[in-house]
Amino acid sequence: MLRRATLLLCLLPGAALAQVTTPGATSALVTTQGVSGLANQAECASTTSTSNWTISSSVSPVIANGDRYRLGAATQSTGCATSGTVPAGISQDVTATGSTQAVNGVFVSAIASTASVGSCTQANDVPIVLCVYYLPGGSTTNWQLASQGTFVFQLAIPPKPTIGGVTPGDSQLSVSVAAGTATATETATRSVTYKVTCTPSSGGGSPSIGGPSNVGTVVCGGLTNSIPYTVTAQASSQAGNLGAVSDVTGPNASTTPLPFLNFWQIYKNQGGVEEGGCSTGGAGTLGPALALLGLLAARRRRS
Amino acid sequence: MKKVLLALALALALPAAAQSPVAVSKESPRWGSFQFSLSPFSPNIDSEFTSSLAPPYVTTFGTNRPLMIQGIFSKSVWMTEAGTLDVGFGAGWWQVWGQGQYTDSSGVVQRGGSTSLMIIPLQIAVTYRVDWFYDRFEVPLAPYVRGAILDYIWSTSGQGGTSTWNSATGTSYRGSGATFGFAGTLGLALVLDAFDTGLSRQMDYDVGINRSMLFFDVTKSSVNDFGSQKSWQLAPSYWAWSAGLLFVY
Repeated sequence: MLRRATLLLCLLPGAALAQVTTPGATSALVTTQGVSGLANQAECASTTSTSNWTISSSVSPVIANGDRYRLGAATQSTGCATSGTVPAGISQDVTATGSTQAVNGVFVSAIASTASVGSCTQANDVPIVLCVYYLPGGSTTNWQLASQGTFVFQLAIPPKPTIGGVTPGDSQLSVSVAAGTATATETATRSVTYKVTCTPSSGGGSPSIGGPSNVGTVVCGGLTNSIPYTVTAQASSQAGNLGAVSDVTGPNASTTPLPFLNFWQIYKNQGGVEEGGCSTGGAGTLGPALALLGLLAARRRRS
Repeated sequence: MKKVLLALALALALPAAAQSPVAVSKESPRWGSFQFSLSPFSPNIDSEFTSSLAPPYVTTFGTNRPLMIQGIFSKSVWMTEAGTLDVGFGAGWWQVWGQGQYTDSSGVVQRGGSTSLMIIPLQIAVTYRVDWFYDRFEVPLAPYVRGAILDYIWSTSGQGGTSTWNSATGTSYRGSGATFGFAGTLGLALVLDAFDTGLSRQMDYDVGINRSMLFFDVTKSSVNDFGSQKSWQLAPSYWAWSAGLLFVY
């Protein structure tokens, strides 16, 4: 009797665990900038910006029973509710048509307010949790957390970059861009990319955009030779927050593309004798001769 | 210092050596050798322009000597008590970057645009290495001499890829090709096995490397299609030194 009781005590925690259903996964794509799981400052503040949710639920709803999903959001610290009163939804509850379901047109501002994001112009990014609650028969009793996912309000603005130097080329400028220093109101964000704008200093032609690319050298192409350009750089966060525009470089000699000669052209212009191609004079026969010797040696070895 | 040298050789060739069981006493048969080396390199292209105030190579690339990396696989064709004759094939890589030039109507030269010269040095080499000092007297030195036929495959490039130049008569010359030459080398190798014979045997037992050497040599070469009047000189003007590791297996 004691042995059976001990065995039962040992098995009980496992049995309890087995009854817990792990929630499925949910993601949201804000339609304006198209990076899954991110919203930028403008989208956070916009009253028209919407997101498309993709729900992968841990339960299989029955349409005939009137099962519904409630979309919710919570701060990362509190997380999605799993018991008690079902939280208020971001929008109206939707009919649950399957364990995998898309819900479009969910307002981003509503997500922000439900998750207590606060100001959309704050300097720090705000990670939140998306929650999908399953309401059997549309009832708010016997509900359960069906799915959850992470979402980040990327509110930080990348700092103002600096232009380290500009190297002119033939119809192009190679611009060395360095990340700016983060200040109290400019938090450095991950995955920052840079665009460079090259604008002709004297009429004619339209600005050329180089990038987006990582910090380093960004090339403005398609420029007109012999025209001086002004060059600026601007950082953009992954969610699309634009930082301040850098100080202007140029117009000067280093921001003026020219038809530069490369080494081979310089060499030949000075009367260099080399003509390119595979060897000259008697040496031209050396390659084939060595190849023939190698072939003969290989054949001899095989025989 | 001894341990550092041996550890370097082992780290490159034998990460598993320390995990293996105790070595055997008999040396495995030797088949050949492999070596890799680094060498500061600068071609003497400007030898054509001795009277020029702005010769093209130095003006474009400066006087630095970027490193050339090379490797040679060899087969031992003649082994005696005195030494070993290796015949091998080598390949490598070298590249230098610089800025192009533009001369305006008033004669002012401006620099800009990137340009490069790349060389893939190929060689067929015959090396005679004197193993006698170490085998007979356990003096860990192995002098060697090497002769080689060289084939430098080269390519110049500008902003838009491989360079071309059009003459006044309209002929187009592509800036890539191959140039043959020859080289002679004198070198001295330090036999690292002498510093830890037990570990050396272990290396032989595990991966068949009989001997590890740290070498230093100097090479004089000529790469201008054996004096052709239509070839530039891709060999350095100086005795070029190189250093590296050699493994006998």
